[in-house]
Amino acid sequence: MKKEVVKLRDVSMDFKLEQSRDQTLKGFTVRLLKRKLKFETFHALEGITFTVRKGDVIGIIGKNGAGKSTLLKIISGIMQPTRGQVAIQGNVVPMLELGSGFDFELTGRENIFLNGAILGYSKTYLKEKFDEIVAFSELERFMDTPIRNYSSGMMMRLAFSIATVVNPEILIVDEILSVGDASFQEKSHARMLELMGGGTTVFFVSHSLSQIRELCSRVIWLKGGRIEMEGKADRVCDAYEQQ
Amino acid sequence: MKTMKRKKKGKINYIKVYMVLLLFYITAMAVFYYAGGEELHYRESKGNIGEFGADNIVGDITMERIVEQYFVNQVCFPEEIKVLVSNYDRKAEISGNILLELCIEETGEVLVSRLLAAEEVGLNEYAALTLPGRERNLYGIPMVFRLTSTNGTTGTSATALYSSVRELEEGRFCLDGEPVQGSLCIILQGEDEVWTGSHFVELTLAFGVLFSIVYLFSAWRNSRGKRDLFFSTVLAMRKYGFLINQLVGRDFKVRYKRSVLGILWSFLNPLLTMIVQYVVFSQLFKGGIDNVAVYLLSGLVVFNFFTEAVSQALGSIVYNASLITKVYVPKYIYPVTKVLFSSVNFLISMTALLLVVLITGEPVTKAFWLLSFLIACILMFSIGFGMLMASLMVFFRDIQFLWGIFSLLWMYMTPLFYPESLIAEQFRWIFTGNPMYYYVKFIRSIVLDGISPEPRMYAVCLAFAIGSLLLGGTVFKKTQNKFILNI
Repeated sequence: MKKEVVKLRDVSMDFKLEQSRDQTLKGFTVRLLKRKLKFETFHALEGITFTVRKGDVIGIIGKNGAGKSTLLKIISGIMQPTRGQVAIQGNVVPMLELGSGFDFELTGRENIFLNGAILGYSKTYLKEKFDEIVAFSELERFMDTPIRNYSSGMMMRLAFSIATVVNPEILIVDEILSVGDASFQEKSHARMLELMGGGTTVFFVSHSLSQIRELCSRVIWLKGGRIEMEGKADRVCDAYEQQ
Repeated sequence: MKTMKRKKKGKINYIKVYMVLLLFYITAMAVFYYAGGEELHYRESKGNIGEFGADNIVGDITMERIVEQYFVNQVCFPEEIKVLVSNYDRKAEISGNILLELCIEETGEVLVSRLLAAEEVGLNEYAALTLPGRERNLYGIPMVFRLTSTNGTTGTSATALYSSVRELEEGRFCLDGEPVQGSLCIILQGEDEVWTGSHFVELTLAFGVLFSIVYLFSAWRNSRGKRDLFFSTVLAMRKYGFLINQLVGRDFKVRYKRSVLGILWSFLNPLLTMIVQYVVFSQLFKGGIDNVAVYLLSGLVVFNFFTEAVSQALGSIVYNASLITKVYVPKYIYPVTKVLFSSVNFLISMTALLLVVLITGEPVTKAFWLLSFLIACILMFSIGFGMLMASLMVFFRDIQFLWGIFSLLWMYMTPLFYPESLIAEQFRWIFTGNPMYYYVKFIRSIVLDGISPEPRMYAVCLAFAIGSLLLGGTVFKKTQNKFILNI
C-alpha cells in the first residue's frame, strides 16, 4: 500500500453571506447597533471524506458551483475548512491560475525565482533546476526581458514550466492543459502524463470528460457540496453523463 | 500538515542552536554594557529641586542675620546647589559678602561652603556651589542650607530671594530662627544610582537563566512533537527566509526599476525630504534646541519609517488578494515583508542621518552601538502594528483613510518639530502614552547627547515593541482564516 498523502475527514465549508455588502466601518457599526447583522449560511462543502495515496491522479467533476474550486482551495491550504480535518503531507503546488505570482516589472529570470519561492521551493533547488525550467519554456532569449513585454502565451509557458519542471509532490490542476501553441500543448500534455506516472499526486479539475477518462485513475463527483459518487474514472464518468 | 513538514526537515541540533544563541546573548550584553557606559550606573536624579519663581526677598543679609533652608535631600549624589541672590541693582553701594553653607543638619558637618564676595553678587542671579558628587551617597539626609554674612551691614548688604508659595518636601524655611512660609529659591541637581549598573552581572545571569529555562522547555516540547512558538518561528524563518528575501527584493527592484537614478533614490529620497522639512521647520521652531538639524532629522527618520512601514503593511493583504486566493503562503509573510522592505529604506535613511551628524560636528560615540537595540524595537513595534492594521483593513476598507489622518495626528503628538518643553505640564500625557515619543527620545539621546538613555527607557521601548507584536500577532492569527472570504 502506498503512503496516504491527502486525507480529508468530514470536511465542511460554510460561507456566511452577509446580506449587505457594505464593507465600511460606518455600515458595519450602523448594522451592529441596529442588530441587523444578518448572515445567510451557504454550505459550499458538506461532509467530504476521502483519502488519496501517493501517485493517485484524482479527477474532480461537477457542475458550476458544486464546490470543486473550494475543495481545491482547502487541499492547497488557501482556505481553512469550517469543520473537519485536513491532513496533507508534502509540497502542494497549485496551478489554479498560472502566473498569479508574477510581477510584470521583473525579468523572466527574476520571476522564476520569485514564483519558485512562492510555490515553496528552496533557493538551491531552484538554482539547480533553473536551466531545465528555461529550456522547457523555450524562452532562453527572453530571460532578461521584463515579462510585461511577454505575450500571454509566453507567460503561460513560463508559469507552466516553473510549476511542473520541479517535481511537485502534490499538484493541483484547474483546466490548464491548453497552454501555448500546438507544439507546446503537446509537450505540456506529455509532461503532465510524465508527472502523473512519476509519483506525483494530482488533483485535476476539468469539464472535459475525455481528458478525465484519459488521465485519471479515480474520480470524485461533487454535487451541491457533497460527494455524489466516487470511484473508477469510467464508472463515475458514465454515471455523470447519464444524469 | 505542519507537523509532517517538521518531521521531514526539522532535524534540530538543540545544543548547537543553544550555543549560538548563548554566544549571541553574551556578545549583545557585553556590547550593551560597553556602549551603555555611565548611564547604566547613574541617571539624572528624580529628587532634583528645580527652578521656581521668586516673589519675595529675605531683606539685607547683615552680620546679625541668618537665613536657613532646611530640607531632606532626595538626591543620591548631589552635584550642584544654587541659590538666587541679588544686589538690588545697586552694585556700587553693596559691600557685604554672603557666606553660603550646606550642612548636614544632625552633625552640623559643612559639606560645602563658599564666601560670595559683594562684587560676585549680580541682580537676581544664581550663585552656585559645587558638591562632591559621586564620592558620597547623601540620599535621605536632612540638610540645611545657610546664608550668613561676615561683614554685611544694613544698607550695604546683598539679599537672597524666596518664594512664599513653594514648600520643599519636609522643608522648613527660617529667617533668624523664625519659621517663614515658603522656601528659599534654591536649585539642587545631581544623580541617582541605578541598580542596573551595579547589578549588571546578576541581571545578565538572571536573564540568561530565564532564557535557558524557556529554551529547555521549548526544546522539550518540540522534541515531543508539540507545536512550539520558538522552534516553529526558527523553522518558519528557515523555510520562508528565501521567499521573504525574494519578496523584499521584488519590492525594491520594482520601486526603482524605471527611474534614471535607480537605487540612489532610496538614499536621496529621505535625505531630500529631510532637507525640505528641515528648511521649513527649523525656521519655525528655533528656541530651545541646540542642533536643530539633527534634532529634526533623528525624529523624522524614526517616525517616517514607522508610518511608511504601517502604510505599506496596511494594504499588504488586500492588495495581494490575487496571490492569497491562489497559493498557500503563511499570510503573516505579507505584512512582515512590507515592514522589512521599509526597514531597508530606514537603514539607508539612517546613513543619511549619520552623514548629517558628521557634518554638523556631533561626536560619534560608543553609544551609537545602542541604535541596533532601537532598530530592533521599532521593527517589532511596526510589524505588530502593521499586522493589526492589515487585518483590520481586510474587514474595513476605511482603515486606509483613517490611518492617513491618524498618522498625521500622531506625528504632531510626537515632539518631532518642536521642543518637548513646548507642551505644558498638564498635557504631558500625550507623550507618556505615546510609544513613538520614547523611540524618538531614545535616538535623540544617542545622536544628540552621545550617551545612552537611562535604563528605564530600554524597558519601556521593549515593552511597547513586545506589546504591539503580541496584540498585532493575536488579532492577525484570530482573523486570518476569514481574510480569504473578504478580499
